[in-house]
Amino acid sequence: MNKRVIETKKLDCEVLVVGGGAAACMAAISAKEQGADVLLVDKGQMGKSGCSPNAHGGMALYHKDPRDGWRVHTEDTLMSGGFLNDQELVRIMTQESRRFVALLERFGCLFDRDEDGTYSVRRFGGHAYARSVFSGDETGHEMMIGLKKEMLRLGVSYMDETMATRIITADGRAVGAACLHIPTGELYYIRAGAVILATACAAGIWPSASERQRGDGFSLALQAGAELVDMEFTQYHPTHAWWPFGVRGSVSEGFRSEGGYLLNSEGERFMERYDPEKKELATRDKVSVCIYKEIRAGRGAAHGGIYASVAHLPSKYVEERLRVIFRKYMSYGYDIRKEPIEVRPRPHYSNGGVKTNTKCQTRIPGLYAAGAVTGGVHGANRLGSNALVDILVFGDIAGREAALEVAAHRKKPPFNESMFGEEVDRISGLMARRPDDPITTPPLRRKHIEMMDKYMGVLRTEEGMRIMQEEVARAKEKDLPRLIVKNQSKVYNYELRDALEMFFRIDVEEMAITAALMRTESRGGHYREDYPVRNDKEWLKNIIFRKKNGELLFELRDVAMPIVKLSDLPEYANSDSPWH
Amino acid sequence: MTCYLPPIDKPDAIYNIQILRFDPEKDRYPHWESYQVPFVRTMTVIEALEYLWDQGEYIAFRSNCREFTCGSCAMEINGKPALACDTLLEDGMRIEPLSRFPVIKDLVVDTSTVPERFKALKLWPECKHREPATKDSPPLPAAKSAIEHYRETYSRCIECYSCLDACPQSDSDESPYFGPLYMLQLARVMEHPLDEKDRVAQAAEAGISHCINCYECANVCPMNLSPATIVNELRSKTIRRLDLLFGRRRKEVG
Repeated sequence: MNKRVIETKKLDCEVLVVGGGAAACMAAISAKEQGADVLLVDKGQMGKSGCSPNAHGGMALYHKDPRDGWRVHTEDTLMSGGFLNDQELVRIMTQESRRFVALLERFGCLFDRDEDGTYSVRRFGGHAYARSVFSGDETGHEMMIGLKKEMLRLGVSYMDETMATRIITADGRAVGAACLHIPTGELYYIRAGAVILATACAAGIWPSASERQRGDGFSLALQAGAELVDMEFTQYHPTHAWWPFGVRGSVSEGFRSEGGYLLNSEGERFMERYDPEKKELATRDKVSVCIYKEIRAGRGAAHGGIYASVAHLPSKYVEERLRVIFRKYMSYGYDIRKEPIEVRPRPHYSNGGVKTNTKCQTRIPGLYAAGAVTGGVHGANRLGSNALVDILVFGDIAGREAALEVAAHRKKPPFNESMFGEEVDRISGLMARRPDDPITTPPLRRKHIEMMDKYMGVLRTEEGMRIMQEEVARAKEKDLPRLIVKNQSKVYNYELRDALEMFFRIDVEEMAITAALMRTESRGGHYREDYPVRNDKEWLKNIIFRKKNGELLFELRDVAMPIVKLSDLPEYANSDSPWH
Repeated sequence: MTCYLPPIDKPDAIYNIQILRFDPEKDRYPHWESYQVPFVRTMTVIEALEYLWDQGEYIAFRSNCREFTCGSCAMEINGKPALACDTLLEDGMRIEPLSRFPVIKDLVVDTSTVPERFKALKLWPECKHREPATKDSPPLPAAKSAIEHYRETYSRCIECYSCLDACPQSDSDESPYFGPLYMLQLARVMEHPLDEKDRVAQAAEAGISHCINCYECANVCPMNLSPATIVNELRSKTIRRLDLLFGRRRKEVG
């Protein structure tokens, strides 16, 4: 056994919330309101970490049009999700969500109003009506301000820069977590009556713009024995900034709708070839697929993206109609009126995740999950602005249910010293080991990101995915055991954090590839060139994973349709297009 | 550490930059170190730090969103506070931690007193009776234009602490003046329709009179807000309050 190079400490709480975004804060607030002793551990800083502050869009929760209502919203969500959604969860989301806009305003947020004083709403793609409440272009930011202030008002305890590395179980029940405190390098055993996972999804294992979503929660849940669902579905945004270097974030749909062209290296407007009618304005998924086909055919731009240009439009028009994008690029000294930019589809959301019931419980008693880490609500593809609603509604439910469960039990769970000891040894071993042929995290990570993009990206084929599957198996056997942490510092050792994330990544990759190989059709965020159409006869099924004695098990389950039947939406049912 | 970016095959230039390093486990004092980084057009400071990280230079720094929305990566660049993700890299740059806060390691500073002060100042809508939020709760009374003004003036603040760092009158938590960030936050919550607390008195007690109107906070704000203008408006309100001119002590703040 390795010498224990890390210090350990113990903490106690009733409800432990893992994560620091909106779902986690909402869960912590709602558990605290029930009187529970709550502790929130956050990999970044509370209110600043995760992806919630970056959410620009809106919250689809205000059915303002008299023709609109929860059922229409449910139907929209299901059609986008390829009917793989858990309909009960969608019903809860669309029925319970409206209260949250008022709740957030009591926390200190304010959302945009119309002249008559009612909430202003936006319509997002795929929604039948305008129903998204927003705050300018900074809805997520405004939301986090309120949640953060409410956390402070209620006096919820939180630990910043603390990363959960293992859910601790005893007798099949979640009883706490091992958490690495990055500022001191100490490993905490946080004992808790219930644990709520509210970490983000795993878009960051691809070359994503939401790169802080590294799949921690997926792996933690899997290792603890919970079930995960719909892991093959990744959501891509077709036009993320790629070049000039360092410009980040998505280039919004406005760029294309105001007359921007997508060009390949030969200067051809290739979308005319794929979709002569809609051209650049085809649906997001379709544009992503077309861009990738061009790049793979060797007609990509100089730095590996595809050109997007507004140089043919009058300068003044660009300045006025594309004000935000124009200014953003100008601040980097890049003039989009004269030069084309490079864009590239990048993933920003995993549609699948931890399987939960209507009380946010996972298969493991005492382990709850809420927010982007869960799967089922969005099915195969998420509708824009449904994410911020999902995290509020289910964050609230998870916090409340966990607090109620803890209150009903009252008895403190035992310390599982042996399981915690294994985790201490694992991390100490990782720090101390010096194999003959070591490998460090940065090159391994870069290799995997590039391979995931190439073989498990927008365009998937059996052949490509097999290559990736072999690489994952190889990395698991050959690379992870020789992964080293050079930096021996205890204070802010991000290298250790990144190395631990590498283990999470491999778990997530394995599930995503296994599911994607199994699903011989195209649907939502899963497009296979060898099976390009939707196959409702065989594939109205969810692929569900769990781990037993270190072995990855899967199961196919038929989708239940208690609320909306496929036959209720004949136009959708009669098409075989993977996208709605 | 790195975000996934296009690989740097052909840099446009090689830049020399200097970073103030401090390792609490080894060093007694901070010291400057020089580094060479490849520069590609439109590269920012954050990519230079990430590049060094990949090369095995374990410089501690905070970064999260990389899109100027989280405010994690504020540091002093050429002597001025700025967001690393929002500052184009230049040759000869000097990068050091924010000087307003105690340094923990390299570019990471201890900002834990900020949320504590937010809590002490009760920066949430403070009211005697808060109606529970239900499905049928009407929107709080607020005009369209008022909300737009509120967002453009206050709510865009990402709490990066650049203004605190730039303020010559608030160089530590011991200073009698809390600093521009807190004044902006007080003015922000004052605009909220539910808030009933006497924010003007709080501003007076938090030392608003010490502001010397230098506008440094407005000059450095990455979101182009003007805390200085807000301080002036708030201060003019404190001056009209005779009860605040006499007697009250700082310890009563909150």
